[in-house]
Amino acid sequence: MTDEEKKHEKLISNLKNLPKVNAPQNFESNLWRKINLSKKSKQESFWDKLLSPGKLIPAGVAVVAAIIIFFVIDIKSNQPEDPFSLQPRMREDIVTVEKFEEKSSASLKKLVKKKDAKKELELNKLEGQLKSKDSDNELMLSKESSGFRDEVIAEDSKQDSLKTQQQSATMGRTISPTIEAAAVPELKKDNLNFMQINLSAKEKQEVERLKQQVQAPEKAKSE
Amino acid sequence: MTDRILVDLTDEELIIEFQKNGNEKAFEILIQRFKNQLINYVYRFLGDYDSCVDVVQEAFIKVYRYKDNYSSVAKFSTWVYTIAGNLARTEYKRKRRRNLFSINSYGEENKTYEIPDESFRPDVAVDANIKREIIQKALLKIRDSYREAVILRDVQELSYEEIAEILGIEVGTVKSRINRGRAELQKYLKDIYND
Repeated sequence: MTDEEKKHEKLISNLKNLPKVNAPQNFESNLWRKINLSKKSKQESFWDKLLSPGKLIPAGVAVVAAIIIFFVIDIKSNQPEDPFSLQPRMREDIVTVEKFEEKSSASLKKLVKKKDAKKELELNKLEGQLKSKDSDNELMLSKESSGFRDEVIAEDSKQDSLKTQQQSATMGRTISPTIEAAAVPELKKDNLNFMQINLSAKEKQEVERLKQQVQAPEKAKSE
Repeated sequence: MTDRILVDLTDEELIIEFQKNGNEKAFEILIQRFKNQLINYVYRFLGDYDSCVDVVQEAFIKVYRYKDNYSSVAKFSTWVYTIAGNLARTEYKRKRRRNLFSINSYGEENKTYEIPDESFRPDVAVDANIKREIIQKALLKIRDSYREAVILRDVQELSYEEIAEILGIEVGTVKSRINRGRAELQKYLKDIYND
């Protein structure tokens, strides 16, 4: 007997003296009954079990579910991907920006065209205004004296120059030089000569005479 | 093979006879030899007589059904003990999940001990009976691995080698489990041994 066994001697003897529990009298008959039952359940064939409705329906459902999963889930996606062999993905945000630029350039062209049309209209209006002012000037010249006339003309010219400056300033902000070039030929130099005075026939004769008097000594000198 | 000759055969020879020839008489003799041993072992492990009878019957059914799995290298006793032990462990876990046991914290405040059906017990002395019941309850309180080792050694009186073979562990591990189990039991039975 070891030291440990000596230490627990009383306990060990108590355990050894525990009464022996025996099997019940009907133990073997019950056992054989259970064995025979298990034999019968074993004899039931595999196909009988499988084709019973209790198992056939869930099996069918499972097969249908498996087929659906097979077609829905991409099996290739399970394969590991080599990140170095992959093409870089297209960034959709950049693509949309490019599209935006295209759209914006197109819209800008439309806007420029609209502005051109507006400016043409404005220029036509200006021309009309200028023509009407020319006619006013003629009236002024015929009616009033030269001092008063000069003041009015100076004022008008100032206003016109301011207008043209403003117009040119606004055009410079918005319109490209090509557009300005297209607009300029419509303005004639003669129309812009606000100092032009329409003289009567007598006055013209006097002016001609004076010119000849002035030019005569110059011609003599040149000859 | 006549019945008289079969009775003279060893356990291993009987199971081989049952294996090869399907002789159910050999199997019956094996049942006769081992039913009480196994009932005692499983009862001490589970603490419930009805459950222990079912477990042992299930063990014999497994022997009957899987007789071909037995190899002549091992002893039949260790094979059948292993089957019964595994089933007993499974049953004990199942019962514990269901909380069918009403074992209170023994040795502490509430000392309420359930006395099972005594019809199969030969004891007459009341004190001795109570003492044995206390020991049984204490056995059920120690860890499963310690309990089976202690029962196999001190109740079934098997050798360390046989226990090692049944439990599938080393002899040293068996010894340490037995010692630890005994120590735990001693702790729970402190009141009895102090008297």
